[in-house]
Amino acid sequence: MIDRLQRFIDGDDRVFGQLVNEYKERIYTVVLRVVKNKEEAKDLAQEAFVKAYRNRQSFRAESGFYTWVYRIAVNLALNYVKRNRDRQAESIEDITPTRIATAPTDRLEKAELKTAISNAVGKLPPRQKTVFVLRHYEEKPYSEIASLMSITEGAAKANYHQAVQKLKVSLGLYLKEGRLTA
Amino acid sequence: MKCAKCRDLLDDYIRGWLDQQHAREMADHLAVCSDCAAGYESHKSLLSVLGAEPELVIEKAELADFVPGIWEKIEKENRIPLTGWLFKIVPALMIAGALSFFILKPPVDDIPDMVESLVEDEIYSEASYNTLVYIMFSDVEPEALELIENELYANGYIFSDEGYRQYFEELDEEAYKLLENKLNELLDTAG
Repeated sequence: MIDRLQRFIDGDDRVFGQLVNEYKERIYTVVLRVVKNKEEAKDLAQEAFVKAYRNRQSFRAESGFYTWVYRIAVNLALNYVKRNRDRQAESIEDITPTRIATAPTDRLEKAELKTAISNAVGKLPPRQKTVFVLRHYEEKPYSEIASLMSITEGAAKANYHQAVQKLKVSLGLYLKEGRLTA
Repeated sequence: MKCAKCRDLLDDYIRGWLDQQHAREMADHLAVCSDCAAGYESHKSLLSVLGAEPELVIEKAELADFVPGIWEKIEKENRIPLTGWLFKIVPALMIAGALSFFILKPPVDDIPDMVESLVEDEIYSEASYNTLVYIMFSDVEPEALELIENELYANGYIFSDEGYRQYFEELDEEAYKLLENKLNELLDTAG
């Protein structure tokens, strides 16, 4: 692996292509979770790889290519949602048409839940949303979230806590009725 | 275990991320503390709802042109050398300016007319950043800038207006005040 990363640093485009193919889906997914717009997510995920390519000579192989690109991608996504707060609120359902692999009988309820969650998460302030995505969907510990976002661990916890409180309010109907909690 | 610690570990506990000892301490505390037990039920209920969300499935077609798109972007950047350089140098200058603000003495004679808008627009505006850069780094070596830029990239800093804004927002109050005073001082000198 180290040898392959060294070849990437030395400018081997074929190796870079392999690395992109290996990690593109994971990078795209986390960006999509944050920005909730497929076109923008793809553009930002590509941009993360372009930045990595452009700065490959400053890359330190021991930190891992994926970790490096992931960090760039998360910050690009966070900056994007900060810049587009107003537009975000209008387009947060863009993520919902993605195929839902469920039985026909409960497909409608699942789709409804997916939209409700997507809307609730989409309305969170940028930093809270990013912390929440990293914690809930990406299952990152606070220490890693703090490192990725250049914030303190305490700030990561506080942002997550605030996000959770807001989600409890936004999803109150589902929590009270115990709906769709299978 | 105290309530504050319980609240701190609650999310990890429900997700099953705690080690055995902490999990046992949590269970013991929840058995005797009704407030924390209520918090536990509420949080568990939220995670249960979130857990029922259908998995996000990425269709293959969504990323079919992903790699060609990257090469297109790289080629596009290579085709516009002047703009490309500006995109590389200006952000690096801005960050470097922020980092070195208190070390370098600004060449006061070179302060442009734009300084006047600096305070009016507040220092977060793009014009203010440009002015700041002009004041600070009219004669910085490109090689030095590239080194700074590479270092910042390696540490995950992103070069965008929002990135600088975030950087400035994260300055502590004292540093921010010093920066603001310095800009006011420059404005007075120019005026």
